[in-house]
Amino acid sequence: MSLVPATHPTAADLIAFGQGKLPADAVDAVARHVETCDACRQAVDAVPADSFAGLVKGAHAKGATALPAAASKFGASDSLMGRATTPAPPHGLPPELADHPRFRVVRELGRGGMGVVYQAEHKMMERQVAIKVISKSVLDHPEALARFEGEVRAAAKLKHPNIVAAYDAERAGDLHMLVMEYVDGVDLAKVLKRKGPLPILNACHYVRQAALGLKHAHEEGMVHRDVKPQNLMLTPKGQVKVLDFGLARLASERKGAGLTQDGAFMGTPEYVSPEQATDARTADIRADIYSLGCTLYALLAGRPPFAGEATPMKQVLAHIEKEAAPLSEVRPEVPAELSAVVARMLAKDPARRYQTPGDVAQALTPFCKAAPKEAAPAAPPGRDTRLGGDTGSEKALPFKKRVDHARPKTADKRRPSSGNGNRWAVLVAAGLALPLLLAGIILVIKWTKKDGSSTEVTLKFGGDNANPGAKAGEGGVKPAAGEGDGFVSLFDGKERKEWQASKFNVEGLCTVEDGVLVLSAKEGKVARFETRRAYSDFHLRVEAMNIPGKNKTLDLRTAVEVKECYAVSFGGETYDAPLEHLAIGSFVRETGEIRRADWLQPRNRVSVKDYAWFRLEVVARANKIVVKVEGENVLEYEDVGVPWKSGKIRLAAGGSTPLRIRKIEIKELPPTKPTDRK
Amino acid sequence: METSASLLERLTTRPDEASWRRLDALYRPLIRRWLSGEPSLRDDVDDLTQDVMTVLVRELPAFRRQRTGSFRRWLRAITVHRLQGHLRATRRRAAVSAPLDACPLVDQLADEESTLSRRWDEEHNAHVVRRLLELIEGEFAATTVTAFRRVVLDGAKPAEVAGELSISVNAVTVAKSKVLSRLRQEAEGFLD
Repeated sequence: MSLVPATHPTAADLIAFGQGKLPADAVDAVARHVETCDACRQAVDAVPADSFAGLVKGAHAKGATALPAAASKFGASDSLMGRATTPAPPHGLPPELADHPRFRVVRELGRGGMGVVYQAEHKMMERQVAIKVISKSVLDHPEALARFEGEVRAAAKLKHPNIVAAYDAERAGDLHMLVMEYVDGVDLAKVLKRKGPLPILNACHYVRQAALGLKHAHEEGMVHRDVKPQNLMLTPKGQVKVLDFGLARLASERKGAGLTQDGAFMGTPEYVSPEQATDARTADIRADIYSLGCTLYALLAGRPPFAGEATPMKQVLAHIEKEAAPLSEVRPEVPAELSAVVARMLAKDPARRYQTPGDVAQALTPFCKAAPKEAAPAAPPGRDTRLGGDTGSEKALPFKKRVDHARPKTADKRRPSSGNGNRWAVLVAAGLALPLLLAGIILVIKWTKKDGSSTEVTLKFGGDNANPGAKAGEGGVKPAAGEGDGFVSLFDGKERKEWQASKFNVEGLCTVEDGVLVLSAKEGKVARFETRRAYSDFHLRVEAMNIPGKNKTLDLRTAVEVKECYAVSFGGETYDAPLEHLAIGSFVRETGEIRRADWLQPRNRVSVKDYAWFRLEVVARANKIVVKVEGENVLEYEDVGVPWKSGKIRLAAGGSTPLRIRKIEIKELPPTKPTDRK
Repeated sequence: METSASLLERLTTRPDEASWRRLDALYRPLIRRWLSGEPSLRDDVDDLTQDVMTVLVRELPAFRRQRTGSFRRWLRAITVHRLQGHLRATRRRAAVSAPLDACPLVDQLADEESTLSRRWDEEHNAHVVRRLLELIEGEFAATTVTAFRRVVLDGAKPAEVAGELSISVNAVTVAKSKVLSRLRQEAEGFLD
């Protein structure tokens, strides 16, 4: 669509101009043009107000004296934008939308817990959009409103063929709306209801696309939290788009009042992961993977894994306590390999699932064999394109016919390709039988991807000259040895042989998964593994994952007692950080007595995304210890007491969140004299 | 005043007095109003506000350099820090071991997830755009400002406003976009 002839500003510039987003040096030129060009002026007037304009308007609607006058009023007063207002008519178009200056409503598309969805047309841009009018009951408090806008803003950053694009949060009068991409299609729940279990190829193809959408979102730091067939839109071309990013939390806040306390439950009972049901705050992308597993299960079996449970609460409990009937039993033609993929997605313990949506997509690829390659998410023409008619006919499902000789090859290289498809399932079943409390345990099942290459690479630090080794960490672990900079690798990406259980290891495990060294322990226990020898002065370089949860620690120069060491802690919850969200934790000379007093706070902070790999370096010289994150000094500690001079390096992970390290290497430094000794 | 960089950017790259004054005019009222909300701080509000502003000015370049999160959270952290210091000092002077929860404002602000902290974030943003608009209005002709206010704040139709102000509809649209651009630009970095 071309708004203006070539001599006019581009449509993009006009939109940016209208939203005040045009760079300062470009504003005047466009302004001069718009002064005299009616067509462009109209285009600018038609630009939807974005959240910033909404903020400006909202801020003024409150008036300049609206800030609370006393702390005692904070709990009750409502000075913010989301004032209670007269409700819209329960049926029919809300008046604000009926005479909206920019949108012409075409029809109602559906109603849900969050509100009503309309198909609408942007009057000037002639673009079809979907407008979700958020129920007032969902946004009835200012926090929800602010969060809604925040989530929409975050969701608006997601741009992927497998995600329904969110354009903006919009206000019309007192109406809060989410304007998003209009998808001409139908959600998979409807497809399922209409047709029952889907052909295997189609189900895998759809879910794989959803996984690719989630992968993109995950790389942008977002999780969905309510993945289910209803939220997967299927276009007539066979393209699947994930819907409603960022909205799950809002819906749950409203429900939350009824179910359990704050944040304890969100999601949909049939599809919620055990951890999300238990404590939603701990749920990460792997909860989405679980829900996606339930979705795939439902698409293949015709119903989600615990649909048989009588009440929603029982369903939720079943996710926590029960095992789903193996898919290959429910639907015998499902190949054992695929059944195993679903079982892994449904692992109770997040650590035993695929760790990223990218891994899921990869695992499903073999089952989408007849579908086009990665580059084209849409199904090939003629396959399940007629939603109104019958699903892809069985003849369109070559995989099923060829199941015996078209076994997936990439799913597991190490496993013999025939005969024992069920053994893995048995092992997993043993794992599943463990209560959720044991979630920290990781079974040593070598069910790895072929090359381990699609780990979460969110490395964004460009221009990294200081640490050439860091780049090598991308896409898998490469031993540092032989790089010629004096560093010796303490982990070769294959075995944990450098690391032995410390005498302070409390039922912890140290395993290697997909080229990553993983320390884990169940709740209340601590995994501690240490080097075989002691080091005194050294430069240690680590690439670890920033997993929120209990502390993960590097203990340096460990001594006789467990707390006699210098500890570098991160990702922890005990650390009381007065400044900012914890990116990297603290550093301490730990002894029983001075622990808290000496618990240092980083001087500089380097932000590291949750679940991103980051570079952690420690340079220990005599009594001086410097900690760097992403190459920046965050802490310089000088022990003015009697320093520990030498000791082993110990890795520690407490509680239910693991320590994941994909690279650790050390260079010994010539001894130096302590400074500033008393 | 130079207008091609945000206030935050000017303050951290080539600060001049006008920029510092603007920062002060922007944030002092907000801090003051927040601290005034806590009865137990009543006598010290001015001093504490000054404390916070001092730290803000001193640490701002560092914040910009090593930016690790939103400005408002950083500001809240500074405020909490100063308040904690103040409370410790007060307790020392009083030579009593006052219970730690003596100041609910601090405890709540220190908690990222508290209702108060979230409200802080919201009110911070609302305050910044409202106050900044006042502060930048002087850079524009009165008609331009009025056109902006009528269209964006009051939701009036550009044609209507054009009639009121006896200017072209195009001029209204341009006025709206120019002020919005400037406001957005000046606010950049404060609202993320």
